Amino acid sequence: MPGKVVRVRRRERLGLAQRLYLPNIFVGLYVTARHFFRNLWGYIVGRKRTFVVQYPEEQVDYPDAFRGHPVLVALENGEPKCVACGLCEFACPTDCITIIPEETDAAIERYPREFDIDMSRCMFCGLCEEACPEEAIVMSRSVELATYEREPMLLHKKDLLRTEEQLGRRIDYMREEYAR
Amino acid sequence: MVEPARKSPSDENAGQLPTDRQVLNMGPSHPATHGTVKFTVELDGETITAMDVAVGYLHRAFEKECESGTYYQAIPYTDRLNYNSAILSNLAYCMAVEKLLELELPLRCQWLRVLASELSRMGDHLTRLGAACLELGAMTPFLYGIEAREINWDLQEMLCGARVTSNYIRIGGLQSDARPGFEDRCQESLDRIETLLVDFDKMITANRIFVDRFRDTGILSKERCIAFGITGPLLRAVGVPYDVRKAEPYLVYDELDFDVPIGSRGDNYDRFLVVQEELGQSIRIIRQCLPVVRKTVGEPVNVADPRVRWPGKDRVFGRMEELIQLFKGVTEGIKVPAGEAYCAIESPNGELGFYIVSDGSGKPYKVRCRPPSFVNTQPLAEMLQGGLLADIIPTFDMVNMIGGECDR
Ligand code: SF4
Ligand code: SF4
Repeated sequence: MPGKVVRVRRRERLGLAQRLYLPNIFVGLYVTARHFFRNLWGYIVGRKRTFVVQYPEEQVDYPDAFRGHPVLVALENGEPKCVACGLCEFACPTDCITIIPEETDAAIERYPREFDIDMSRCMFCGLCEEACPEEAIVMSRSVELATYEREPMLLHKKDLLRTEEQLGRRIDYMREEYAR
Repeated sequence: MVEPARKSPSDENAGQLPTDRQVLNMGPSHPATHGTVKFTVELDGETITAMDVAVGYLHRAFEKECESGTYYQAIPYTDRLNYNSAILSNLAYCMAVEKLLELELPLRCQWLRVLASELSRMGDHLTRLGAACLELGAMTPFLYGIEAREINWDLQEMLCGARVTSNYIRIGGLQSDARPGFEDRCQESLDRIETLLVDFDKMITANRIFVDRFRDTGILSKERCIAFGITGPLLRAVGVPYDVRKAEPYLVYDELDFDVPIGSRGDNYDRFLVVQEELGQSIRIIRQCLPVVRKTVGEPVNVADPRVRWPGKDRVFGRMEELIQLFKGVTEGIKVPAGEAYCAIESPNGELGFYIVSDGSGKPYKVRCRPPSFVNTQPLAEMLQGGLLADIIPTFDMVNMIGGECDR
């Protein structure tokens, strides 16, 4: 096995410069000033290097893999794609999904009459999305769920429905990454 | 709880100041203890004469909770152990289950796992070093450390979809493959992290104020370290070159070229330098992973056995057999042969191990985690005995106790 054991170099025998404190302050000032001017230059030429964003107004673009809260995919007629098989309910570690299935005479004969996700318990793990055999529950890109009460944290079917266009990037991601 | 040893003022020191010892409670929520932990310190002036460390404030029955779900459902819970390096906790758990299953992993999966775990290790080390500076009052190096961690977390987010709660490793594979463009981004980010580390080093490592606070504080001898079962940078700082990645190589670590940094005296300064050096070694490992990850694009990252790894969606959509496998896999959980296994990996704090007992069903019979933080926190009182009150902060920083992992 390559690689060896190295002993770290202790720089404790400080030279005169360090013992006098002052020169070190200038080293510190130099490093900080360099960062400052580099960041400032970045702002001027429009290539921002800092990480601070003015959050509610400015938002970062999350990567494709990003997992927001789970939502339901809607068909063209506005009904959920879900067939109420209950796999996501089983897969969810925190038991935060509640489904009440119902049967109809339509072409897809099963659908969820109620589909609730308790967002105060959901931990955005994505196991429901991985388990769903219908691509019906997917992780959205939204994470803004803060409320003053607990009641609005319980999302019902109508709050969860999203069209495929709204979810575009995530559905592409799923088709690429969950094919194995 | 330590009782103050009271001395009654006698006649001979009448007229002098009273010499009572003082008991000070620090924590459970103290700004300088980045974790919920309580110290009861007995002080003689500013010298610590006795100390009691109370852990357990973050206990949430992780091990018991794992028994209530299937093997898969425990993976997101492992994220919450060491929240600075969640991927490593995922990895340790999944590797223990894989040991029971006797799985042979695809090559690309192994390399990606190594890459992800080194990224994760870097994140943890950067936090530790940055926070150590902050708590000693040095704000600027903290910001450089955190900026480097930010770049690192962006990479992790690109890989697994979340910055902290990664949920990346799966039994027999990974949640997803690396996205196209990841390798280039990784290369760029590593360069930026390296320049930040140079600045960090300039500001702090040879700074006299910093060295004075770290040198010769919190010393623990080699014998005591071994007696306490300490692992990780703390053990390496006293000069024992023990690293699970070298001692019992897992994944592809035996093919990688990296050094094990050791210290000589075992004080906080040695610990700091060891961690700093390990950061460099992690970057070195990732640089070695990238060409292989580039070369193996398109190769599978999951085992093909649908009884272990839930079958992919493309197969589930079109075929009955796979659909049934998926239903069985999700509802009953994957069947792990009866038996027991212990698997340890090198986490940023030391040896992180999982001991799993299976009774052959879809749920673990027993999950036990060996948390390095807990073991490393034990000798805190001994390290600080005779030190100053102010030494608690750097020592505790270097011990890097993570509440989520220590208390489980
Ligand atoms: S993301 Fe995880 S916790 Fe949330 S509903 Fe899905 S499976 Fe449950
Ligand atoms: S797994 Fe998919 S199809 Fe089944 S109930 Fe959940 S959302 Fe509906």
